[in-house]
Amino acid sequence: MKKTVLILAAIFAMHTAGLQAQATDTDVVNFTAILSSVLNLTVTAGADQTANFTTPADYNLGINAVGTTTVTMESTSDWDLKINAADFSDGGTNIIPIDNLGVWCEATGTHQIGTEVSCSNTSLATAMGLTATDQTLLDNGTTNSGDASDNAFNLNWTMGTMQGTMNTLSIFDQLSNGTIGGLGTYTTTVNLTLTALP
Amino acid sequence: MFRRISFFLGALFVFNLIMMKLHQTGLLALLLLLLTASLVGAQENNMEIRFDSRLESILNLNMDPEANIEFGLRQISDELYQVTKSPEDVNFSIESTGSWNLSISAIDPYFKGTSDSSQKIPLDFIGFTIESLGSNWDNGLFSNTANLTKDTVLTLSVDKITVLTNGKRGNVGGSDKNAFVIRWKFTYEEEARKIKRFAGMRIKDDYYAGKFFITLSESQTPWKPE
Repeated sequence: MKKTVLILAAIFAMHTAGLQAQATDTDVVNFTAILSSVLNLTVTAGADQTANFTTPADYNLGINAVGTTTVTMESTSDWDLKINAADFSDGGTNIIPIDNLGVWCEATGTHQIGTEVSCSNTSLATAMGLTATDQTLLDNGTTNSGDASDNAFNLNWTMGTMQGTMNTLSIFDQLSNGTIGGLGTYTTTVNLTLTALP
Repeated sequence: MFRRISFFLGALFVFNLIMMKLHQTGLLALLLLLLTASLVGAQENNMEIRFDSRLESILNLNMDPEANIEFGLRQISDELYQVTKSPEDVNFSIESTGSWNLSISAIDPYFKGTSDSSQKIPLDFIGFTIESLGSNWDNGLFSNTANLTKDTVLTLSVDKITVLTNGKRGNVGGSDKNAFVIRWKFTYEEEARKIKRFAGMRIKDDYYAGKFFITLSESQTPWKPE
């Protein structure tokens, strides 16, 4: 009898020890956070622009404010924005040289031109005349990575105003010398390219 | 040749071994993930903006709408008159996106006295020339504009006289290119026949005035002599 009690006590002790070992068991959950690169350019308004030349002043002096395109950039790295466009075409043989179209920038987000972002074209007087090859419109300053609230900009369009690096002849003069072959509706597509900087 | 094939097969074998090892350890997936991430980072994001430009037709004549021809005469003796007031020059400019022609005509066949409208002087006692002040040339049909008054004085008429016409170089342009002045001239001074006629009219002392039309019209083709 005494032997039986000892055996049962031993079994109980072993069982208890086993239970205690289970209660302190541990395991691990492996957690991987992958921060992928984000690079997103959004035109929030003004994706279609029209410049109407209807008065002598338009032809002589150009149109200061054709319209505004608003853009935002979301980027996990620093970025630059390049711009290009082909000459305006009437669908036939007539063209308007693309450097008659100018653009200048305003920052409307947290990132400001001159600090986080750099831009040489910040007023009508310093407007960039577009070309068929890429030109850098907005570039990295101190650091311009950020979301859409950081990187929000107005691209202000001007045409025929002979400002900055734009064509130095008026639309009238170009009609007169035959560079612009005739009246009518001309069209082009402006390309904006957002690039992540290494 | 055999050495090259052997080397290639050997390299392929080693590559397969590495890939199998990576696959076993799960590192292959990680490697692919990193490769994809680096490719995404190198991509560019593009947007397009459509831009239209409409060039509409303009044909503008800029001049004082009140412009007229007014001159004063005073008889000094039987056949001697003094001009007390000369007609004022008339400046005008043209802004046109196309080539153009310009004609001039008088409203009435006479200049009438401003105090006594029964007093009349025929139109041909006043002539005119048009001088170009703009940068468009007016040296004939092979320039921008052919100016009929370039080397001659024309007299006004109630019939339209086309005085400025599109030249071969085209006269499109603004007022900096197409600026002109009309200069009036007493033609009797140079023709003995008119002097006699003028003296025979017994003109009274008065100011005399006449009005004229200037008509600007589009010209699609260069002017051709009739």
